[in-house]
Amino acid sequence: MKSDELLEREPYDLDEKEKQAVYAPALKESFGFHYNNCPQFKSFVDSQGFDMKSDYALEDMPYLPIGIFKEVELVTGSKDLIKTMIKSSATTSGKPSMIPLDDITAKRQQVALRKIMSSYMGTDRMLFIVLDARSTASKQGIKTSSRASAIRGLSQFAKSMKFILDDDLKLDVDEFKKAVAGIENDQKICIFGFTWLIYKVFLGLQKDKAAMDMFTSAFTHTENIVLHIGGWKKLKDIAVEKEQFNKEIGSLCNSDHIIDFYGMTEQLGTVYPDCKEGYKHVPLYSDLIIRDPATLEPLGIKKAGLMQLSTPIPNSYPGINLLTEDIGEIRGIDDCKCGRRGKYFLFRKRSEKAPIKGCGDTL
Amino acid sequence: MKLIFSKGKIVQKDADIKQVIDDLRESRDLIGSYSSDDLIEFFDKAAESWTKDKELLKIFGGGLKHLADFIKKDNTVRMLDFALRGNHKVLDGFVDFNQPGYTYMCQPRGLVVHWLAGNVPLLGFYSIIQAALTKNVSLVKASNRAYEDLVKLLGSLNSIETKISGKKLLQTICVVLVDRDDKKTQTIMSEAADVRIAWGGPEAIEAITSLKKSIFCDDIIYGPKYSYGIVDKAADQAKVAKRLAFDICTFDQYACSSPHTIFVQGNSIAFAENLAKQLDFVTKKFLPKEDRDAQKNLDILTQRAKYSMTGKVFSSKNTDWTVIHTDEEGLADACFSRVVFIKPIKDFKELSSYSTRKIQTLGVAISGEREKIISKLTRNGIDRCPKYGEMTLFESPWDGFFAIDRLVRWVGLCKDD
Repeated sequence: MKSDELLEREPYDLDEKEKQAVYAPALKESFGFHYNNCPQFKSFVDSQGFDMKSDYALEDMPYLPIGIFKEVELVTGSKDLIKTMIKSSATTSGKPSMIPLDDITAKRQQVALRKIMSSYMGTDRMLFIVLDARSTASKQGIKTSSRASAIRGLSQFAKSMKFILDDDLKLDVDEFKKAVAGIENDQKICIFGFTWLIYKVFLGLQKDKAAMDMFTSAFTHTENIVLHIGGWKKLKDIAVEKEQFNKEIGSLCNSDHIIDFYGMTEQLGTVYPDCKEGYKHVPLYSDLIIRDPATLEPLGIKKAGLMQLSTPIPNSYPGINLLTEDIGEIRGIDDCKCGRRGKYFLFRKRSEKAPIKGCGDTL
Repeated sequence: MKLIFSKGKIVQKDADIKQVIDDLRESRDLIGSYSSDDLIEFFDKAAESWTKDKELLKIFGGGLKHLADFIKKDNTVRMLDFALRGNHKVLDGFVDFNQPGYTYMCQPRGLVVHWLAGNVPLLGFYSIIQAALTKNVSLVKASNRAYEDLVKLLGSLNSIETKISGKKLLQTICVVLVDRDDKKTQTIMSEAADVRIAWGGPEAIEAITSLKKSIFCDDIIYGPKYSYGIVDKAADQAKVAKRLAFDICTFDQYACSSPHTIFVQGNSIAFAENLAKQLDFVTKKFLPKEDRDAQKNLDILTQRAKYSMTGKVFSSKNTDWTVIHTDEEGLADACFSRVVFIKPIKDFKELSSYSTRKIQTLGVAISGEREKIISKLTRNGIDRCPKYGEMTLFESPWDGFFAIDRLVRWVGLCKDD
């Protein structure tokens, strides 16, 4: 399929025009595949009055709101081929998204993740100090949390992974000491975790000077990478902005190379790390359209709106074109100083739920 | 805390809430000196003035017309008489109700504190006027998002002159803005209240009712409620759809009396289709939608996507309105913002298990064993069963009680031997 051909290429080498020449046919092929193999998706597309045979622009292609995966279990093709069910953390709504993965999707996601992350972290495998519990990453049956899935996905970049939190997600001093004892002199390492969890550990260390000293003195290499994922909602709740996070966590881990990468359970594999210029780049394997939050019409560059992300990668569920709850802004195309081509953007925030305005109520 | 309307004037200044309360209490004698008929005349004149005020009509639309109808003399007399055992003169002096041994008078409770809901300032006005008609003074906590229109409408009473001067009457009403986290000020207001009236959703109501209050204070809670409707085969379904579209568009379904689910006998798909046309018409011609936040749009798109997979969805190209036809049993969870669920049904009695105190209004277009069905459906909940087109029109009783009756104290005086 065209999406596999897409994945053979490098993520940021083509300029936008060249990209669209190969991306649009791949996405359209994937769209047709899901239309023909997921009856619910077909019903949805038909309900939009969309003509599959028309020569449509990508911005006119029907998109699903991301919340649909919290409401309906959507599978393309045979359910028997599903190997893993990824469950999101249900931060905002209380309901998790359920994403069914077959081997084809999982493999494509791995390739996409490897190619994208290599562009930011290099290809050398590193020691990963993971600010999470080992139990988070262990697989239990078909259902997997998105945290586990992210950790496993990144394991392909790791020489080894050392988990330093206990099952209550508190720093396990013994495990930490064992982990850092294995760091060779001048060995570059990657400290990885979920944004809110890293900060939670940091707040805990602030209350314990001895533990803080132990932590900071363990990381001496100046080129250590701090890699974090998972969104800012919990930190925004306690009024911690990205700048403050980078300063505090950079100092904790002796690193000025902090990579925040944006990604979502509904489209694993296509992730959006910060480049050195502070922007996130859209790789060849996905596309971004910004829509006006009120009218849902597409917006041009430098205008903030709801982020709609497409990718032809999913094979086992129709999550190929999703309107997210996140507000972002395309800052430019093909001209980022970091050298990567294509669209680059800023993630602004998760859109907020307005309180109920009157005396009416849900059930 | 900001005082935004005081002594008939729109102001914007920091103030001491205790002083505001003391000033209002001092004005109790003033409002107590008016006769109920003089108060009725005053509001009747205000109604007349509002229906001619193009600027106010532009701001409030049809809602103001209904409020004006509500305060017209014939309605206020009827409403007061109905709530006060048949004689509103009981507000002015002792009345003999032919009860052995006693005559009765209704005294005002005193200070009524109103907490108004988000963006429906007009609804709060109904409680402010009822408080005034029963000679209470009012302290109003407005919503930060919707106070301008409220104070503009209140200010319009300044120019009303009957036996009562609008300027004077307005000395008995104060509007304040209080930060939602300012528990201290809200507690002072709550403790001072002789009656607390709260309009709002569950969070707002819980926050208000959890505040300390006097043990003699009565609460009037409007919301949080859910409303739905029924339509039988014999009904003129085209007419119902036309009227229902107004019920849905008014307040964008954020009022407790706004319908979210309609159970339809007969060709429910045709009804849904018809309703879609009417919603489109009403939205374009009469009540354009203002509610357009990103999360709400996403909620609407999610509902549309979900039910396009399992039912049938009729919708505007944008997110203005949505009609969802589904066979799912029971009441649909409210999405708000002009999203209505149409469900086929054979026997309305099936709905009795969904009747709880949470259900407020039931839109009705049925014939046949009408009263028998409604009696069964309302046994455990549902407080009013209006016709379509009138679901969101405030009336008394509301939410199952007469607010007027709760705004007064009944005083018995033994008859002179």
